Amino acid sequence: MDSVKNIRNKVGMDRETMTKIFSLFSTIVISVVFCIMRPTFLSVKNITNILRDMSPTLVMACGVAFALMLGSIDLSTGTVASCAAVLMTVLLQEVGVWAYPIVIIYGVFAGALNGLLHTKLGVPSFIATLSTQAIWQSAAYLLSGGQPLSLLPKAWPLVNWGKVNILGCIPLLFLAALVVLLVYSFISRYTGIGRTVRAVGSNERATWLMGQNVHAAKILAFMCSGLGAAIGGIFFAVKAKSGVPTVGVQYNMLGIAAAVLGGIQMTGGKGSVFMTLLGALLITIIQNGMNVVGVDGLWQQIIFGALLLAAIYMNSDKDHKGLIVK
Amino acid sequence: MEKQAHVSRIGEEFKQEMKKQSRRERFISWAPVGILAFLVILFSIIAQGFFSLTNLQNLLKQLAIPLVMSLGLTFVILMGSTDLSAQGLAGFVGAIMALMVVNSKNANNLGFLGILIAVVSAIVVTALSGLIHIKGKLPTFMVSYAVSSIMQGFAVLSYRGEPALIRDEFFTTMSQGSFLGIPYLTYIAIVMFIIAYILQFKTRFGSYVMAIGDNEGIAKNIGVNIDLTKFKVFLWLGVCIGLAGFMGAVRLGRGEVGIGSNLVFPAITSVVVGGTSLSGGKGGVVNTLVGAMIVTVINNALVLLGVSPYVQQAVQGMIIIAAVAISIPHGKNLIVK
Amino acid sequence: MERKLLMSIRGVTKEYPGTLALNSIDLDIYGGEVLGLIGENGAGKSTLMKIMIGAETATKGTLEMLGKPYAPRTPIEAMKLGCGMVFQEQSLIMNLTVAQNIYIGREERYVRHSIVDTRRMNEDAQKVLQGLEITNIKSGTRVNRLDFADRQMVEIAKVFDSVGASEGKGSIILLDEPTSVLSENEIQQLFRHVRRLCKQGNAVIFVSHKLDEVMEIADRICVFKDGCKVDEMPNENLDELILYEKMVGKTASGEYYHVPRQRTPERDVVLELRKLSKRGFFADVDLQLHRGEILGICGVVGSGKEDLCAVICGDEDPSDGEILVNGRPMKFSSPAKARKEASILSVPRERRVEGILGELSAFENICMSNYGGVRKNGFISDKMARDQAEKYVKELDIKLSSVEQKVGRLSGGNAQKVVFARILSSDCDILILDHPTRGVDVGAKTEIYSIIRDIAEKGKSLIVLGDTLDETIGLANRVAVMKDGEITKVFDAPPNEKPEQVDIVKYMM
Repeated sequence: MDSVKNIRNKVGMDRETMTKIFSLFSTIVISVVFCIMRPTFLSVKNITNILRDMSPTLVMACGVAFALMLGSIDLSTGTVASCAAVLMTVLLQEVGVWAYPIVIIYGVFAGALNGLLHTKLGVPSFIATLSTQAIWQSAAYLLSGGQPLSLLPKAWPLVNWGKVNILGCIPLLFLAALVVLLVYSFISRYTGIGRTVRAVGSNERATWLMGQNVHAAKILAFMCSGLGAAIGGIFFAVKAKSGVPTVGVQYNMLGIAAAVLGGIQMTGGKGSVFMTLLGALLITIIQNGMNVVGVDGLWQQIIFGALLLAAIYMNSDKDHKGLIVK
Repeated sequence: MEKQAHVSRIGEEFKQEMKKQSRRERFISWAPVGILAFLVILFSIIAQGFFSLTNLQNLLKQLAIPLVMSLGLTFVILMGSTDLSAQGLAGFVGAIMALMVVNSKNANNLGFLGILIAVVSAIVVTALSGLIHIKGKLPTFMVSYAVSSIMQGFAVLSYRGEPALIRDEFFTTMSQGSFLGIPYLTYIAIVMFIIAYILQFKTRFGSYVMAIGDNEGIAKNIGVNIDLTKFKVFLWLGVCIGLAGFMGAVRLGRGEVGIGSNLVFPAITSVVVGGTSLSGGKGGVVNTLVGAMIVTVINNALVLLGVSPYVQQAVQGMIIIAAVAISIPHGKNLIVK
Repeated sequence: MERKLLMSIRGVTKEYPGTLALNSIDLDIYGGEVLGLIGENGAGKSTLMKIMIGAETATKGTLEMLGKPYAPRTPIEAMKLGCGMVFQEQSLIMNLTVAQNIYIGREERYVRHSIVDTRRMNEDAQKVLQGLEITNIKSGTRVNRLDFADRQMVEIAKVFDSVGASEGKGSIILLDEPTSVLSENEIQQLFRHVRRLCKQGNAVIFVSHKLDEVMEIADRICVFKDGCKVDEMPNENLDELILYEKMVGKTASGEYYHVPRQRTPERDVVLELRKLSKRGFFADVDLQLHRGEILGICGVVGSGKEDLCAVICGDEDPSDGEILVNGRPMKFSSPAKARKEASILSVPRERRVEGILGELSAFENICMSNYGGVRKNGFISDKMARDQAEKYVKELDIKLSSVEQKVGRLSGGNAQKVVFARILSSDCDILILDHPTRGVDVGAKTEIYSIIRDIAEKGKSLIVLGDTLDETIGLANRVAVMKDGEITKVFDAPPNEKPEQVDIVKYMM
């Protein structure tokens, strides 16, 4: 541990950079290992697959990154995505293309609800989002009758864009995710409120006294998180032409893990939204590689849980002696 | 003389404010009992079959598992920390416990040893996550969240496919039988409650947990070994999660990962609804008992009223938000994460 | 009575990075005496006490207790050695009983088979309370059921018992502002306890801002100033004002505060407070602030001046009264509203926790109170933020390697200049400076005074709570004195006839 610290001091790196390098390094090593085990891993077809599979993880991760940057957490993204997927499937059949804006509004609403519960009622974020998580899960079940819904063929033209690849190998879905990512990192870097989100994570009291609108920043962060989750849900529906009421459950953890692996610090204030790309890539490569190589998918949760633990450990501030952590 | 009058004005106002605050606190501390009484009366009127002996037995049985789990969580939350690992861990414990006793999947027949292994493994896991929290200075909600996910993976992995059905007669009768009209499982909960009560009120450990939750800085100055106390809390949590997981498997008749996800939410709700403050240092096991009763009564009545099981979780979600929103200290410049 | 030497302090020095908190203190503490410790904020009293109870260690110097070297590492060790402190902020655990609180951390005696014998503990605790003639408190009650004054008594009982004061071997008890929440009767009761303890051969060190109380109870009084012990005298025929003069020392020259640059403020009122109150903190405050004026507010700790500022800058809500900005009544739900709608901004007291974002760079900090100044086409430009920061770094002579440097790594003075750069870039018209020179070295102090003059010259209005009374008077055009939550007097302080400190103090005490 000391030697790592020494190296860090010599190179002048901070934790965020360490984590990014770790993620990048792991991504490369894991790709190479998978590639040696199964040369088809790096085939164009598989890369296309990876990019497509990565899309929902990526949008959900860059959304939840906002909540994490506050030093808070959003546990509801998984079920918001599930609910969005079900809602999407139902609405595509009912109102056609209007389904897209409605589900997007739903996502913003779900996020705003979290934000309002957290700021206006003073409920800690993990409890507020744990509760809304249960509410949206119930809603997803009620809406779907507890069963996975398939999209009727008449609505397929509205989702076929999900199958389109640009230049033969880059899925449109991924490009859509990339657009979301770029918009999100733009908000985080170039708008006042986005900057306030980072400042709140660094020192909430000071940000408040500096005359920045802390509550608005928090609500915005949760709205971004909810919106990202809803877009993730749309992607699920588009990809599978169905709405499964539990489709997003696992993605809450994957999104958080991707954000943390991209260098977002749990105590807030650091890391960039854009780098969640790296975290999402690492996670998707492991998922995909395990399928390609033929490892039991049941190991996934264990691996990603461990990876998350390692990443938050790397990102955390351990030098601070008097720090009280609950 | 005039000077004295001035002194008393601000001072008096300050004292009045303090009194008002303590009146409010006292009112809130009794609110859970009032709510419980209200709910019991309400459901006796509107839910047919609620106020009957058989349903009372049902209530006692339904109370047992969430109570055991929430007794573990109580100490964690009293400290001002959180734990989400119960979700995966209880499922894991249930799964391996089912695999250890006589079951549908393998030829094991370890009997009581199976319970022991299951509970000990839960303790080991919470001890580890406690260590990571204490030594790594990582927030508990994050650590336990990751740990929960890992254990959920292990749970599913342990039985691959179909969960094991428990065929051991001892355990199958245990889930159904009762003694003196009280279900067996409830006895376990009663014993655990007594132990938890002693821990909180009759040991140094209980005072120290309270001190840490109230103000960790003061606790340190008083000479409380913070790290050790925290570690012990996680050991106790392990015992409770282990037992709850085992009871869940017995009650369900099979060891599957779902045991955990059905448990953690009622458990957190029980603790919070009972009046234990999420910021720590306020509440305790008696509050948790009341809270667990409230949650059990509501769930039971929802079933009797024919409400869709899908809605139950949502109802619990709303209750928990309401309870936290009422009990948490308010102020525009307070920092809540 | 024979005076037994309990503790002797020799050459104790405490250095923090950049500041000398205690400078070679020699002090003897005798059994049977009450020693009063007085001095302004930051004079070093609390540092000395922290060293005595093991919460801090001295950089240099030695302590001896009853002839033996004494160097406790924790407060609990100090208590075992016979030296304990009653903290100003109470250190009771609200949801434990009185008895549990009295014995927390020392329960060994009552533990058998891991179970605490609550009954015996309660009985013993009751005896401790009785020993202090406290009869209205039952030892089995939970502390949150007690009122504030009773809690203070429990706190005192806890320390009395844990230092073994009743054993007569000679213990030392430190009381830090013990009377701030007590009524007149309760104070008298406390004084009786203190005297009785001293009769048993113990020593009590009494720290208070209320000089009249110190003079009433103390046998000997020590005056601290700037980390030094400036005087030590028996409490005989002392005059409050003379004591006060010793406390604040000589008035610094007008040059130090750039008094010649002091401007006459304009006539128009930018901020007016009408009967502003916050229940329990201050009441019926009427004040006017003119354009270009520096208004100093002074008062002892607990006079309500800090709370008043918190209300003006939107951090807290008033319970009554009005705030008028440029004649219009305003309500601020947050400092953000105060900044945007009324152009009010504050320099907070606790810089590290309230004033800077330590993990972020200097340029990011400087633009934090006004993104408007660094926006291009509606979006924030890092380049503009850097340029702006460079400008202020030159203007205020901030010493840093680059504007990318993290503010958390800067020294107190430079970090404070970053705060001022942020305040300047915010372009706010009404600024509230809460201890603007706290934790800043002397050189940087005078630079900050100069910055404050610059701001006033630009026609901005300032409210200043000085670190010392001298500072407040030196900077201000007018000085408002607060006492027990009310304004007792407003002095004019034109450059050529600044009011004397002693005159102001009359209205503070």
